[in-house]
Amino acid sequence: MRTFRSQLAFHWHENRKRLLYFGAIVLLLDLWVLAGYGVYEPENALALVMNNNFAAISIFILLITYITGANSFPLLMGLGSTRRQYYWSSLTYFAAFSVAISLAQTMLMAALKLLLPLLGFHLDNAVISYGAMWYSQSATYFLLAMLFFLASTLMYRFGIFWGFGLIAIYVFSLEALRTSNPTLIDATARTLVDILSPHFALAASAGIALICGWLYRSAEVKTSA
Amino acid sequence: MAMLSDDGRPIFQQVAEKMEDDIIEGRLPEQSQVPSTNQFAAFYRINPATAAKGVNLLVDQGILYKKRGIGMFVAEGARAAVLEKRKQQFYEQYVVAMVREAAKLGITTKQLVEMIMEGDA
Amino acid sequence: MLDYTLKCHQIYKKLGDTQAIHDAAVEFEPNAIHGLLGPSGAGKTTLLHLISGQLIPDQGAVTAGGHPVHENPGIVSRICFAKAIEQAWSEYRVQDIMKFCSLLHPDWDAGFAAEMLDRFRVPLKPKYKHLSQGSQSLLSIIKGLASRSPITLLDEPTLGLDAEKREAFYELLLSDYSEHPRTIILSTHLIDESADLFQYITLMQQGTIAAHCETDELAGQARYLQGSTEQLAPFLGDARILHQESLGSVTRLAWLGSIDHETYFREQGIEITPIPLQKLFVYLTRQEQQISEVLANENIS
Repeated sequence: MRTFRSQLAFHWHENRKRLLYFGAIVLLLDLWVLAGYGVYEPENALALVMNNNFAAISIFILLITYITGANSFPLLMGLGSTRRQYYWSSLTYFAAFSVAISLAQTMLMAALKLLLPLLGFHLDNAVISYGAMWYSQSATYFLLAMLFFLASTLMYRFGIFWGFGLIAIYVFSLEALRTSNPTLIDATARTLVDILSPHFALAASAGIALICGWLYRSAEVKTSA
Repeated sequence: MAMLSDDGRPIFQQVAEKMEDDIIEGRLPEQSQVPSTNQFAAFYRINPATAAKGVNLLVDQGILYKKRGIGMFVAEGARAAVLEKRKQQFYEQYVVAMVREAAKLGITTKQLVEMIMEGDA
Repeated sequence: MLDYTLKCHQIYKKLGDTQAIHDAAVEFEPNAIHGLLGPSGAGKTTLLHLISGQLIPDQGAVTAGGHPVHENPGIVSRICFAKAIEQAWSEYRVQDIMKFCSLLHPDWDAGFAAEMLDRFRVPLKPKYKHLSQGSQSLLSIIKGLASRSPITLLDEPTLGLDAEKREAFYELLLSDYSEHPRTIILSTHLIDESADLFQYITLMQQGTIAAHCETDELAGQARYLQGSTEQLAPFLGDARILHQESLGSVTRLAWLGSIDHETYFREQGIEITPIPLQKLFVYLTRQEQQISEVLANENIS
């Protein structure tokens, strides 16, 4: 148990700065989006921010899962960790991140829903269930994390070819499953969250996690520098 | 105490001999405490186990003894014992070799004795 | 888990197409400094990876105190493997790396680490990849020593260090080992300087363990025999000759093994002298003989 906490502490310590920069950049981008586009389409203001954040968070998840798979694995193994410990601490850290970032996003939505009307934005009056929003976001981001973790694991174990191959498959699937929608913004904002109910996302994540677990059982640290 | 020599003689033996030298020359008086094996190891840059082996060699020969909880001490009569041992070794190491070398060079025993007297003057 | 006797049980490992390790069996006496020697390519680094659990043997197993090392959190966390170059550290700053070490090594001594960082003047701010090779090696040394792990593996720790720093490392190793005895396995090419550090040596040749014995025992069985070629005739061609050199009609043999009737041969005029440890290791690692055969004759190892 103590080692598990140390490993989580490791992940926290390793990511602190990145999270800080990321958070700052995203907030700035949100302000820019609101100021630049939100004023023209106030009904879509929240959707704009969601869309923007979704893209940013997806990229960030790609980054951290890639680092975890490609670098943190040999690093932790070099510091006396077992593969099982690495696997579970990584899953926990991705889950914690997904839940936390979704919470942050949900709170941001709530704050904007209160603030923007005061600034003169005429938002649509859709009722948002914040609980459901948080849950569906968490599931989505965790699924994303698992997908990228799988790609990164494949890349580490079998080389770049397999990793990129998997990413190509993801991209094509996303294209194929995209709901047809007049405004591009709407489509990317809603694609994954709408078409996959959160439960399905979690089940898919569990399946992918199992595959990753199986891949890590016999993963080896490269011997030459 | 100089560094250990590189002549290939076992290191633990060299450690033992250095301590014997110190005993003979009075640097380690009888009943005085001997440096710890860790100190030896650090000083000569050798493995502590090797230093310990050298010390134990002298303990086995009764030249050093162990006071539980305190350390190693030079035994009573150690100096005499070491001198006796060295005299024996002297014969084997120096005298036998000298005689053999003299024979090789064609020096007679009488000439050898004269040389010794001269060297002693 | 108090007994950390490390043992390799008939390990086989293939890397790519080569059989990197075959039939490797050795037991490392606990709480001693072991030298892991052998020519480059003999498999020393691979063996250390297998011992630490980072590589998984195809056959056989590594145990510590009788318990398997593989995926065993209690044991793996107590084996510290310090490599000269750590790719995974590239993008991190020295202070972060030290923080990671302190989080993950149960017996980590932060004070000792800080002392060494200061003593060797390793800067804290730069990223690992921006450090000189010397500083990188020093950082690995600090990880290896400050971890105070019951089993510590050091792979070429002195890479890129000048003579002064190497001496400092040897002193530090000895004094820390004296105060905190533990099993230390050190793999190095610089046998000259480090021969005196090892209580036991393990010699690897072509992917397997050729010998494992106490340094003193080995040194005690090694002799130079020098004389005219005719005088040495009875010895020539023996498997126990490690090395042979001739100058005119004088021949010198490096001999590993017992010599029957030693006094007789001395009286014949053959010079029999001990071989310095450093030279002995050079002959052994030079692979001129199949050492395992030589030693089998002499009941060493």
